[in-house]
Amino acid sequence: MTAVQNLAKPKGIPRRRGKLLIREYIAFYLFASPWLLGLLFFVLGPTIASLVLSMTDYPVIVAPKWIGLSNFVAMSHDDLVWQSLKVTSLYSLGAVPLGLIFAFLVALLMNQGVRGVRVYRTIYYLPAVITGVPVALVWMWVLNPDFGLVNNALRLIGIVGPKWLFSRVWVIPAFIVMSLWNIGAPMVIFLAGLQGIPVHLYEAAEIDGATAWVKFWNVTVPMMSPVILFNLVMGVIGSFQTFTPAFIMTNGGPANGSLFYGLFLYDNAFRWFKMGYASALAWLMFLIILVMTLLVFRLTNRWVYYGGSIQE
Amino acid sequence: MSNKISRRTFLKMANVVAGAGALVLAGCKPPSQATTAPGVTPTTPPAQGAGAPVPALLRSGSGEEDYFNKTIDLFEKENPDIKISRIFAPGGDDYITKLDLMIASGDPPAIYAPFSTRGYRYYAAKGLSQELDSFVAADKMDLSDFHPDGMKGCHWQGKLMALPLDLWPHVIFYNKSMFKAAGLPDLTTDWNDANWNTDAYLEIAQKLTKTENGQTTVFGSNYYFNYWAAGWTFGGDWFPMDTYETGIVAEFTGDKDEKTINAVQWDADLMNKYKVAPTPAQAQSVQAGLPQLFMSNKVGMHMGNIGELSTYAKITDFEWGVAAAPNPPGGVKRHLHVWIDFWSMIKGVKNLDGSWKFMKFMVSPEAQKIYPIEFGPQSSLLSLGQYWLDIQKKLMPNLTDAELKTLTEGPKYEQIDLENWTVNFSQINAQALQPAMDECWLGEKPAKDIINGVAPKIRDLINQTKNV
Amino acid sequence: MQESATAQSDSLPAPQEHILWWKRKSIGRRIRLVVATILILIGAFALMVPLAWMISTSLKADGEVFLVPIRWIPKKILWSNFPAAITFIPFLHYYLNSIKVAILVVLGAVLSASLVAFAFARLRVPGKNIMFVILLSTLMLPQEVTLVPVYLLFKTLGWLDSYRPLIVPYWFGGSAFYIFLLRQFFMTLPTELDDAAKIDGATLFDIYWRIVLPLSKPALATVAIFSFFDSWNDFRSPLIYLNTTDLYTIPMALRLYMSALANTHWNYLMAATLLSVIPPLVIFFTSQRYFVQGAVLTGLKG
Repeated sequence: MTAVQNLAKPKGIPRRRGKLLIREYIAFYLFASPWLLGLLFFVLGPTIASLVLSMTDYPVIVAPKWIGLSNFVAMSHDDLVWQSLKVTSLYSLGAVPLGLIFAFLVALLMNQGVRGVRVYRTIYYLPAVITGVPVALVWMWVLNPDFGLVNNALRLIGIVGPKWLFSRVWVIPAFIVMSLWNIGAPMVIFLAGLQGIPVHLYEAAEIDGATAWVKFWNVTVPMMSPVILFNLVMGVIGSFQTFTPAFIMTNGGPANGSLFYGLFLYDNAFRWFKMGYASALAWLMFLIILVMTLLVFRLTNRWVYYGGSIQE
Repeated sequence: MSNKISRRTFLKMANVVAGAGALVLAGCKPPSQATTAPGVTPTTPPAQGAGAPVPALLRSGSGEEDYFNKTIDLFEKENPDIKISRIFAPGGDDYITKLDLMIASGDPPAIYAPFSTRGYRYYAAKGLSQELDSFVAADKMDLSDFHPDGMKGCHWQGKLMALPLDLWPHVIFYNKSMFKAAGLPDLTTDWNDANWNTDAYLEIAQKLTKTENGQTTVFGSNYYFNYWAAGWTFGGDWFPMDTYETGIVAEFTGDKDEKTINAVQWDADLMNKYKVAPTPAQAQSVQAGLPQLFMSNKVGMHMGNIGELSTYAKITDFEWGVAAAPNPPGGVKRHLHVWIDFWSMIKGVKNLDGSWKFMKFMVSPEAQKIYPIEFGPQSSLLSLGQYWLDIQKKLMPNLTDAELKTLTEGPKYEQIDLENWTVNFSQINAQALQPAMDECWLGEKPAKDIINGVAPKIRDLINQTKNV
Repeated sequence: MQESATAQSDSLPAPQEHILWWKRKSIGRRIRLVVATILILIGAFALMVPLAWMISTSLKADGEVFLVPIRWIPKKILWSNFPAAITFIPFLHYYLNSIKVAILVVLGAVLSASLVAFAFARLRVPGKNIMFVILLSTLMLPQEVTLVPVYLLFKTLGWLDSYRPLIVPYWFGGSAFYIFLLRQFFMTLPTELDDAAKIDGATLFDIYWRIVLPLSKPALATVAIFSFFDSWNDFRSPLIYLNTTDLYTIPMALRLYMSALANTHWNYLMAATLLSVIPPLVIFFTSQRYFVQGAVLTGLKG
């Protein structure tokens, strides 16, 4: 599978052979030992357990009962599964690109040498710190169909605003807009990446007469590509697991219009403790995310630039 | 040219890791006294297990734990040979998560009270509940003082498995100042007043509602119920009455019950047709159940539960009072929603005697005077009704005796709770009934069509879940 | 082409460069700067609204909190809410608990994640790609379904009702999120640096400790920030692993303000939440100085 092979190949490292190679293998395992041990102790067992559990009926408080693939069969008939997949996909399609672009733009803005940028960065990171209830409450006010800011503003220019969180059609766009709130985290990562771009590259480009636009596409973006890839992958993974906002604000409503897959899974796992079914749901989500991620790696393989090598 | 990690380096690394590990372990508190051996699945209990601590899983939040602690301290003073290990968890889903995990790990609490959408019957259905008949008989305990509705829910398949610990009736809270300004008399506190029915309610709501530039500024009524209890207002029900006895939802009759459908339609009409009540959107029904509209002087009448009393006690802008809920039209018996919680015991715990003594104490008048009465709600004992009344009189000087009596009388006329009392309603509600209710409030289709539309799904879910 | 050889301690490039650079720029460039500032300000203003609401709520009397429409300035500003909030429950004790746990978490995450990321970024081994996929896949399985097995695992180890389940996993690489992030960063560092060091007789560990880590300060700071926040805001783990209230951390403590009686003291809750937001913000703010431009190039030219 070329996608896998291409995943982690940095360019420009000369090949070594023989004893040195063995030493390098050992070195790898030594350095990676914390993760490998952790995998062994904390991850492997529970993961295999959850795979087994996905083929059982397990209400948690009594022992699991083997039912083979019944959970998966039931899932294919369960229209709530399809509904939640639809909701989550639509959301991701909107939120991931939008979030990425905005986070990148804001990071660029922050990096222009504006005064007091430390304060601004902290403010933009604020939503990541103030989690949960206060943010949800404020959003619910802002988006309230009758008293909220957004619809009041729309009313001023003569538009009757939609019912937002109470409308089956508009609830997902509402969540997409709300997701922009959380660009603090990818923004910070983009910022860190921007710091890693050698300044003299820009100066070299300027001396060659490059405009800002050219500099952006020929220096910034290529040097940032590993970081962009990271945020893209994490964005995909994260958006598919979205759960908290829907949990707090709409609880999947109205009429399952915001039933995110993560919320549906949570309900099955924690509200109805149908752990077997929830495990099956989880593994389906795992497969979907895995496929999407590999797709992302494959499709972007061409333009991700590692190695930091100065020569072009 | 070397790729080596020198031995020195490796040792350096190993030291770092080991040292860090030591730091980590040192920084952690040693595990608390282990009470039971790990991995024990509950089976028949050992003979006595006397002396073993009794773990109790209790709800915490905003001082509730203080009342529990007070009662438990009292218990431990009177029973020095029994130690209660107090484990607190926030209410709702989190409580259930903790409870289930403890059970799954073989270390369950002996006594618990879920206070949430899942009741003890869920655990009884899985064979995890300890039957209490033998204890009651041995102690010759008199159960007649318990509220009859409470006792109804204490049995599972004929055996006593729980004891009720509180009572949360629903009543109408209303804005007396608003009524006076509109020239309306105070509402009745008599549950049996035949003239006070849903038609009268609508009339009053219409008189109180005010609009300005097409927008409603004052609502005569808050939304009545925005969940399944809306079907009860006219005396109907979603399921046959024996569901509350058996604890299993086995049959759906709501789509064939005119009373239920009409009640839901009435509720939806309040919002959409007569516009005397805000839709859930307008009322901003946040998860936390915040009663802002009533407190902001924007709603004339509000169907609420006894827990809201302490919140409304802080109102200073207007006068408010308590009234009986309106009767269904046609003089039919009404159903209203009353919450009752239960103490229950997990089967196979170590110290059975200690656990029983503890449960018995917690439902006794001595304990109930502190929890739940000092905490807020009414107790499950009929004899303590007056005691609760006296305490509330001091806390709510604005309420008349008659109004307080409305609260104590209320449970007589109220129905019980589907979620807490049945094994499978929670899931049926979340996956089918509540989305249908949400659709009804949107007002786009008549309730009849929506309910008929969701009936097959409900029946499907019932079939999936009724075999416990 | 010379550039300053030392890393800066501020977020702007060296003063002379900055001025030269500014002066060299056209009016257009300066206009862009102003526009950038305005845009940032607009966004910042919008983002401050929840914070403003929290502050406003924390200073209100109970009955005022949820009036409609929102009253931004309370009728009577109750500064007393803050001392009241932290005595309502032993909040400071839980605060300290959170700090204790978070510090150990950050140390563990930064150290172990960087070690593992170094392996993935710099060392070759057969099957590394497979391992990388495995690394990523650990992020893709929702935690809910491994909850019960993990809980049983910790119970068997006897770690229930202690901080061990909250801290130890972070010492084993932490989340794949951190490892993946650091790996991406390490892979942007030129390998010529490694080669030069090896010629001078450096071991791999030296390369890791003396070259890669110092050059990755922004990335390490990022991991520190994220792991701190993860630990600080973690509600699920304390809920299920801690039984003794004494051990509670802040997320659980905040829950203690919520009441079943619908009379939650939102003003106390907001006051406490504001207090608990301070350490993360301070950490974020002070770690800004590690976000330094051009640190990479030190030592290569010449």
